[in-house]
Amino acid sequence: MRGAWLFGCLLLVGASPSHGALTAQEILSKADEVRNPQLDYTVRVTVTSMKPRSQSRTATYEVLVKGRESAVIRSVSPPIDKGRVLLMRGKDLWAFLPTITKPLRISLRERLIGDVANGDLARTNFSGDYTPELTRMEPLEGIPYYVLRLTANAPDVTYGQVDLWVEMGTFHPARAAFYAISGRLLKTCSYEGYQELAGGVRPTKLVMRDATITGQQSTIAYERMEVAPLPEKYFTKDYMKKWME
Amino acid sequence: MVSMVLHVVTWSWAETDTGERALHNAGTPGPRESALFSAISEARKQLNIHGRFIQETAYRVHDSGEFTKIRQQVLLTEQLPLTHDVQFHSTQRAYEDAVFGGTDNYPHHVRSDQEWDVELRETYVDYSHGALDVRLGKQQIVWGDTVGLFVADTVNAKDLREYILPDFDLIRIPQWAVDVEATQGQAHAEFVWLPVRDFDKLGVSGSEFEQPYPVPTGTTFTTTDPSRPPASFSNSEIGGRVSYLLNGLDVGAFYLYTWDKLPIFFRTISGSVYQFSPKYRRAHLFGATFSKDVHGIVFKGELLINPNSDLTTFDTKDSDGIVRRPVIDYVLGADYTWLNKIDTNVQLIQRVIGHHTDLMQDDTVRTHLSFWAKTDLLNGRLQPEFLLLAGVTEVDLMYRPKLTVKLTDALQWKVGADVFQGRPGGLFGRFEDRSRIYSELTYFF
Repeated sequence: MRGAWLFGCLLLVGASPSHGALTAQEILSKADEVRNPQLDYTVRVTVTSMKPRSQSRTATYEVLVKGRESAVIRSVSPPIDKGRVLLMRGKDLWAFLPTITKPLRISLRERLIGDVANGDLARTNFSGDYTPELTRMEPLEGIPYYVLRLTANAPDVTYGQVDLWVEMGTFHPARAAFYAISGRLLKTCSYEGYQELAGGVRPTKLVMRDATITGQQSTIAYERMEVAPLPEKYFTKDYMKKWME
Repeated sequence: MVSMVLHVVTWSWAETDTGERALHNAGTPGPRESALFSAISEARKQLNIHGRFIQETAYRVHDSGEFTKIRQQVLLTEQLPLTHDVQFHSTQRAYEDAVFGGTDNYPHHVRSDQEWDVELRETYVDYSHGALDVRLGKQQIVWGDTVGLFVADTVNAKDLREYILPDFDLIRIPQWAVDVEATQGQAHAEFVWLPVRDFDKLGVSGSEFEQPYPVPTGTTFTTTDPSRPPASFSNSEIGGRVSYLLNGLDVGAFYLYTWDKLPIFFRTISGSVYQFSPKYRRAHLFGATFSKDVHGIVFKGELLINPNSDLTTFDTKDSDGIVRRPVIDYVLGADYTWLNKIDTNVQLIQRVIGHHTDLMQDDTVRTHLSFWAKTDLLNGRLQPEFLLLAGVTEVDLMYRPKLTVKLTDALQWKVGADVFQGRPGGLFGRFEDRSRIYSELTYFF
């Protein structure tokens, strides 16, 4: 769940060469470009959720992304969750469960597994959901960062506000803080494991920590990211049955 | 096809265990052998076999409590991409219910009907190219947007021998069909043809969820098995559906020329004895669906119109006890997630009969409400869930508390209760003495 949230964090990446010439929107767009290919791609995502006094849970998903608005998430493991499919088109979501065998319209807030919001898992685009503002520039361990404040464009976006630290020059996102509409800090996120992935240097691991419960965190690991054109029909509710295993 | 799949598996194992030495002893393989081994090896990589084993136990709690189900069930699925555009899928199911062999709770004819079965379920070939998708074979064709109901879900026949309590994928009976779909942008069109008609399976007399006969209380009656229409092209079923997604509003409409999947109980009266001659009748069904997310609340609806539905009348002056009336079924629902933790759904379900007369078996308007809630605890390992279906104008209830425990990544345990309450003629009240508690242990592989 939290991994899914991290998945959302990845969308934030940005960069700026000469910061004086860049707007906050441009920085955010560049950060998005670092996080994900801006073309169609597929990626395998492993989410590990840890909670105090509970066993950790690991789930693996195959994710297909088309543009910035459409994604299909197929549950690969564990066996108990295999066959579940989530479709996102913009802010419209459908879930396909093997025991029901029909696509069900759900909201961004409904949960696919555990307490992970679908929006965490499926929304890979901060640029479209949030309006950025460059609040300051500050160094972290000697490296200069842009600090963006992202404000949700609509009430149904997963988080009300996000603070995002983007490394100057590379536009690598380093960390983020996620707030409720009330302003309460919900989660923090760090972007780690930068390495070559699908034609760019991207974070391969996100660590999401719950700000309200000590010891509760999720990691999202990305692997096998491949850029490939994906047919539009893959991202329709009527095609979801084809993904079922 | 299944035998071919098994053949491939066998060959690949043989190759793994001894193939290298055998090839070496035989010398360099020829191009044909190499191509064959290559194809087998590739098929083995592509073949996906998975399934689940389910142990179900149910215990009736009403009056003299007794076991009503001790069933072992296995479902096995194989999937194999045949080409870039073609994929094969097959699912088989086998089950055995020890309640029949281990107890004398049910008469012999119920045991014959429900003790065990081995069946071929979804078995089809998918072809996908460009905007076109074709599914050819035994399949479930599912229309509709709502939760836990079959209003628009009209294409497949259903196995109702355990009422509507099993998972929906097991209630629907896969039928041989051709399903052709075309997608263009936000628009989708679907054409279905079912050459082999099939009908609902109902609980026989004396079974746990037997189909009640439409007779006044205390009436003596005789009946025959429903007469099935012969298999022929003219008796096949056909239909189509179109849908469109516009600014988040998903709307669809469909038409289906089908059979009423439930038998119509035509009757004659001889003295004080009712004599039933059940038959299946054709039906023209028209329907519509919609769903829309409005600020986190997902609204959904389904509509089904049968302009000439065959309905039972208790009017003894009626020659066959059946009258034809227009019937509208619809459901309106909304989903909302509270505190990012609790998923809920409420639905209004209504059936309206046109040109109603006093002596008809069903009321002019039948209204039910449903409420469903689910949450996760302990990192998703515990899932408490509750479903309530309740009549509005009279006591007619079904409530289903359930706890799902994910014991491991492959083992799941459900415990719960299916409780019925209401008058004997109600949708749920008719099973008031069938309320039960149950356990369901599932191993996924």
